[in-house]
Amino acid sequence: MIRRRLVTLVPTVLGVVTLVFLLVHLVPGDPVDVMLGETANPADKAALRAELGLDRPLAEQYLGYLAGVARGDLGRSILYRRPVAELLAARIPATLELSAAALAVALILAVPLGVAAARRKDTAVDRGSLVASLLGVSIPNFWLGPLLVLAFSVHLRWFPVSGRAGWASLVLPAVTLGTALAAMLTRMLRSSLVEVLGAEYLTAARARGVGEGRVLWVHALRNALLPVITVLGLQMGSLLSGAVVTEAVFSWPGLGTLLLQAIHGRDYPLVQGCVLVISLGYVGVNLLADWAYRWADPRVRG
Amino acid sequence: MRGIATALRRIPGGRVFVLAAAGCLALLVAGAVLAPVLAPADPQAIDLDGTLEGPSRAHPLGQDRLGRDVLAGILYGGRVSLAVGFSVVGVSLVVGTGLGLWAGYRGGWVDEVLMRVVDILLAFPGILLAIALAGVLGPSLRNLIIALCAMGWVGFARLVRGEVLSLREREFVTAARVLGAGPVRIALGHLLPNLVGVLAVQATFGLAGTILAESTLSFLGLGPQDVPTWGGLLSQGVDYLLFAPHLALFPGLAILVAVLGINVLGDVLRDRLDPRAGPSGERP
Amino acid sequence: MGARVARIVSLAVALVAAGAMGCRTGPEPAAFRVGIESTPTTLDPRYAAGAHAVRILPLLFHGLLKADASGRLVPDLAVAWEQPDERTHVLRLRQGVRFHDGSELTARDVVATYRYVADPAHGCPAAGALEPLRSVEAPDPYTVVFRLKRVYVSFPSLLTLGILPQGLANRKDLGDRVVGTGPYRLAAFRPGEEIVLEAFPEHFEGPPALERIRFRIIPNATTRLLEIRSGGLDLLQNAVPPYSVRFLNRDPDLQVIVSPGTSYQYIGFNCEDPILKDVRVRRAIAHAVDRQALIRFALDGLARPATTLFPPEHWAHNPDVPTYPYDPDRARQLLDEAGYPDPDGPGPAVRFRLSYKTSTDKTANEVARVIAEQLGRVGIGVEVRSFEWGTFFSDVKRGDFQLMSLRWIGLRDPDVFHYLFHSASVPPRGANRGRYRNPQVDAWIDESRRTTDPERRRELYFRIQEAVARDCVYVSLWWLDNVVVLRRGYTGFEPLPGGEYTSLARVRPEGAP
Repeated sequence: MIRRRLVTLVPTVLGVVTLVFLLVHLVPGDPVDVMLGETANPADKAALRAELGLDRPLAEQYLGYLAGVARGDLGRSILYRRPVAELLAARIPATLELSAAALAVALILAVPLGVAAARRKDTAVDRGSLVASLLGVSIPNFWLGPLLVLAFSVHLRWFPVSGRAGWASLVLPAVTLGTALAAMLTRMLRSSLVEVLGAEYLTAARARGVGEGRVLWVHALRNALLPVITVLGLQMGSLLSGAVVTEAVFSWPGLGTLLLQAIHGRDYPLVQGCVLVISLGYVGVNLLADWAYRWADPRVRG
Repeated sequence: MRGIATALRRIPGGRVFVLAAAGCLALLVAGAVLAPVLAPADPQAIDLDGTLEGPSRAHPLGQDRLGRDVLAGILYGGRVSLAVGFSVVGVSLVVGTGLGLWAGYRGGWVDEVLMRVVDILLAFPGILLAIALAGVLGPSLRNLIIALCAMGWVGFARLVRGEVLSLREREFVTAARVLGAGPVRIALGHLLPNLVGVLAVQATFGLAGTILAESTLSFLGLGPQDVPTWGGLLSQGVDYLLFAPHLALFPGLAILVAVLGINVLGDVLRDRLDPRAGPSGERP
Repeated sequence: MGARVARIVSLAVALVAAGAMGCRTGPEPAAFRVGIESTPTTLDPRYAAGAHAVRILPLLFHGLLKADASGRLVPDLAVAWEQPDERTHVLRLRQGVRFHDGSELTARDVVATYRYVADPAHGCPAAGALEPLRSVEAPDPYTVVFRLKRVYVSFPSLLTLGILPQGLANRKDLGDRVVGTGPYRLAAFRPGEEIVLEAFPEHFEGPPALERIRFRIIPNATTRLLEIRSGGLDLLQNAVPPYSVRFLNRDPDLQVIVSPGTSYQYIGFNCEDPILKDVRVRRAIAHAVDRQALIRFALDGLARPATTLFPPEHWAHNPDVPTYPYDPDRARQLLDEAGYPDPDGPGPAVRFRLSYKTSTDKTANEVARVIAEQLGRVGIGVEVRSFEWGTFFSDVKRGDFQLMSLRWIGLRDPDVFHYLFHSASVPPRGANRGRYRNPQVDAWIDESRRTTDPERRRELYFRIQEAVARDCVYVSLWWLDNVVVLRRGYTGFEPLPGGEYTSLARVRPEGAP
């Protein structure tokens, strides 16, 4: 099982690295001219060309890039004049923090709401959660963010407007990022629970005299969580790419803002580094989600 | 998300919501189409004295940093969003369907290769690849469309390939083959008509997703710079939130209405056209 | 069941709220709060160099002399100042001046402070400038005698150095235990958070009206705006973005005081660049820039178009320097003359391309984009490149640029021309980043440093300014206005050219004596 998964992993990772490598070659015109400006010193341009290996044949460049990635050398940033890997390492914790907090927010919101909606199916609570979910997935998080800031930072002064400084500054960005996921999870959990609550074996458990509380929590929730975990794994992608936008809204110093700075500064080595790290992170998370699913689902394990 | 609107319609009061969403969407589209007639001012007209001013009689939704009218910006921005949406979905539909048909019907190495490519593209989270592409190609309308198409065709290809895999063993296909029809004829004449329903649904949801992606890229500064866009206005809103909240409120509202409305529409379509939807309207 | 869920949800909400509450600032003691953008690295007058440190120091320390609003030096701790000969300065001290620790100021404290700073081994920023000092003595408790190795006309500007008591002046790391003679003493120094000052009742000019001043460090501009609007700050000086001024004006709780300022913004050329070394090209660029439009667009009108480095209020300002009014036709003509014809007239093809480097600051970028557009109209293709401040600044110092824009703040003594335009002042030795070399200007600068006749010095400074303007070493853009946002109910704040907070000592609630 795991071996098979790993086998498909290798070409995927290779594909990701290849696409990232190709990014620099998609630049219209001469990438060195674009990065340094046409008016730059010819000596500097030649140096950069040599450093990036742009004067060598494509295949050689590709292998060189692969070798570099394998040993952790992602080149030098044009804007910061420091190794890309160093810049990435400095920013990863902030993005991880934000993503983890968003996930936590999503779970904290989704689990109680989903359970309540399933329990009180077709009542006002259920309807409310339905509308909330709909809005939650449709609202762009670069609108939600400013709205939350207007309400909670400007009017109520509870949280800072932007930046990363202490627990309070994590709240609004995490809520912004986690809302769409929360909406989706609420819905998934609710329908999953509804199905499970009506299943045969649960009726049997009730017939055996197991208490209502235990029935719900122990049997139903565990089974209901399985599809939720799958969805969670699938949605991590939008969480990660949503993090880029959320970081931009809140000036959160993570990989996302670094990527945007790199793009605007035409610092392609840094762009490549950011995209690579974020994508490989996503691949890794998917793998973890897959394992979590297999671990949680006794049928698959057996 | 998909089943939500459907479920909503079964609840009293939910229908109103759905109708309202559709109505607002219609207004937005009408506004975009009739922009030159409805806009109170030229969206590019600069008025430095009115920088960041809030709603007023001359400018019902306020003015941006350069004094340009926000209502005009939203109406014309709608044009950009709709144009990008339709072109990206159109191209993705054609390319994705073509590839999906070929891979699904042919099978073999063609299918393998296509699925590998799809896997690799899907290994990039969300619109990250689009951001990277648009970033590398440079901010412009054309590059925005290219970047979004690069991600857009995948959904169609996967869907069509899956459908074709199940359709090609059906009797009417085997019959056509026996009668001597070539693969192209079968694909276009027999398979394609059966795909119209799912394609319409996918295209509708794809349109919503594309508009959201377009406004995201514009927000990040990766969209067209010379024309007003919803995302571009919203990004000014974030910069000047304290004194010009109208810049954050109205463009965002437009995006919400458009995306929500189209998603609801897609759901309704799916109810009508997609044979695979379960009894509760929710998809697995 | 529902109860459990409700409990969990309310617990979560309570945790979040508690976290948020804990981070809200508590009820403020009656302090006057000033917002600043970054933390001063030190408040020790011997070592302080950053802009923010320099602005806060006058509240803690007095020097022998101080600069008034027009830049002239007037007595501060000194009551009399004589020059028995060209190389000797004798200053007589005020009597009865107390330090924050209660001891009385004597000449020995002055001597100790200057001796410490002048010693190159201590690494003080002013050590280089004090190199011509031969000796400093205290013949009696209230007299200080400075003897110089040679004539040094700028020496008096060094007499504004804050004085420490001799016990402390000999120590290296004072940290936050600084003691001075100023109207306030340092109560707390929390880097990254705030600096708290307390009124010093025995101040020789009388105790200040404000009991406590809190300098709150707030790097984010939006946050500063939020704070002053919501009552968390009482004063912001040159710390709000230009576009916000019109809105702050409408706030009934705030008064916005705009006054002509001295921060000088300019476009710098790399005079060694093959294209830019032709003065006609530089002049063409100067004519192509529409400063009025720029000021209106990027600064909301909060600046005066500049002609030279020193504004009209300054005694060394030369009102007759050559100027370059907005004249695109003249620009095109000059470029043609310089041998760069426009390949297609009004079409998009350009005569040549230049790079324009700037930092990531938003206003600087807006300005850069407009200038690029204006230069584009006369056929010059400009690529704006913005960099992280550190990278940008080091590029500029290395001469790795063609066009760039920067600002000089707090220019006071025209002796700075040596630092800016002398051929010996190419970085790292000075700030002649454009690598401007003009032997005649060098000669005038050298002479100005030796001449003691104030009229002759003024004449020399006039000639230097004229030459620099004629050679178009900088394109003078504007002098930024001082923008002070003060809570209503206070009066007495006067901005100084360098942005010093000195007048806070005289700020008082309205209606108070």
